[in-house]
Amino acid sequence: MDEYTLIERARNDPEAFGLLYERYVGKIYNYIYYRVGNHYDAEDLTARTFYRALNHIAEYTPRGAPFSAWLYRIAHNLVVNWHRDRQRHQLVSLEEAISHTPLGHGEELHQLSEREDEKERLLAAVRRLPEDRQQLLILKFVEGLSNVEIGQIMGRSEGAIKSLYYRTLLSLREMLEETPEQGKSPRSPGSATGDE
Amino acid sequence: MKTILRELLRSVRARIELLILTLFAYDGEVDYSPYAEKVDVAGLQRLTERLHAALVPVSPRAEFQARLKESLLAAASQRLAAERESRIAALRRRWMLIGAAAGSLSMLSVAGIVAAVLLHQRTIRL
Repeated sequence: MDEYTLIERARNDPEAFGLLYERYVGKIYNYIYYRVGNHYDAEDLTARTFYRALNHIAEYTPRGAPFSAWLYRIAHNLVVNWHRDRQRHQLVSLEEAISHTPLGHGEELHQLSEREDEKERLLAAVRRLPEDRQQLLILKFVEGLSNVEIGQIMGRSEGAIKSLYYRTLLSLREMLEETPEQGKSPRSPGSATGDE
Repeated sequence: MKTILRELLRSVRARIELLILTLFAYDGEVDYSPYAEKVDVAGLQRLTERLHAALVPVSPRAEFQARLKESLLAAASQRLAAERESRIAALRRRWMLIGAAAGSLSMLSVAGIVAAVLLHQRTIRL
């Protein structure tokens, strides 16, 4: 069944909405996971994304962009609110959130290899980038989307995405050059409390 | 002074690189060999490879996926049932209003007929 028919049916048919959910849950989860850095909040925000989509699917109008663009936008707004709330309440420091990123469930810190430390440092740098740049990198590398598709999701032209991508690479490289040891250890050790 | 100069040079270098990259980029691929001497192509390619290795897809727990689907389907069914119910209630209200209006009209008509008959009888008696 093509996407348009499925969306039309999903407005009045729970089973059709279930099919849409199955089609996109993995992508949305991935996107949120790399934006928040832990499985617990990724699950919570993924659930909220699909509940919001369910409540507003009657108002959804396709305007040339794929359905996934609408879902990513919902997820993006929720992630932005999540970060805002988190900053306001200062429950967990950024460094701690980052330190959870490369770990799977139940993995221990001492098991991290040197390579994983490198990866952690890179992800820490990615998460220090402005929101739009983080979004771009996740959509490009995790979801494997083209610049055109990313442009549809982020509401920008292909050229703007290209330009943003290269600016992102340059600033990321600069961040990694400037702070080679950052991300390996927390900057403010007293500020963190765990959330998982 | 040295630091300021270094910062300035770095900023200029970044801007030149950005300009060249933006002009010669093809859909995310680093392809600007004529400018390879000026731009640190290898460095950016290494960074891209590192990003590929670090940003790998993760899978949500199967249990979470199944539970969320179940609750979404339940919520969707509930929402549809609620919508259906409110539609029926709205229809019922409309018919009640129509009925009430029709009833009032017919009562008025009966009252009118009675009044007309009474008036007619009084006219005959006089």
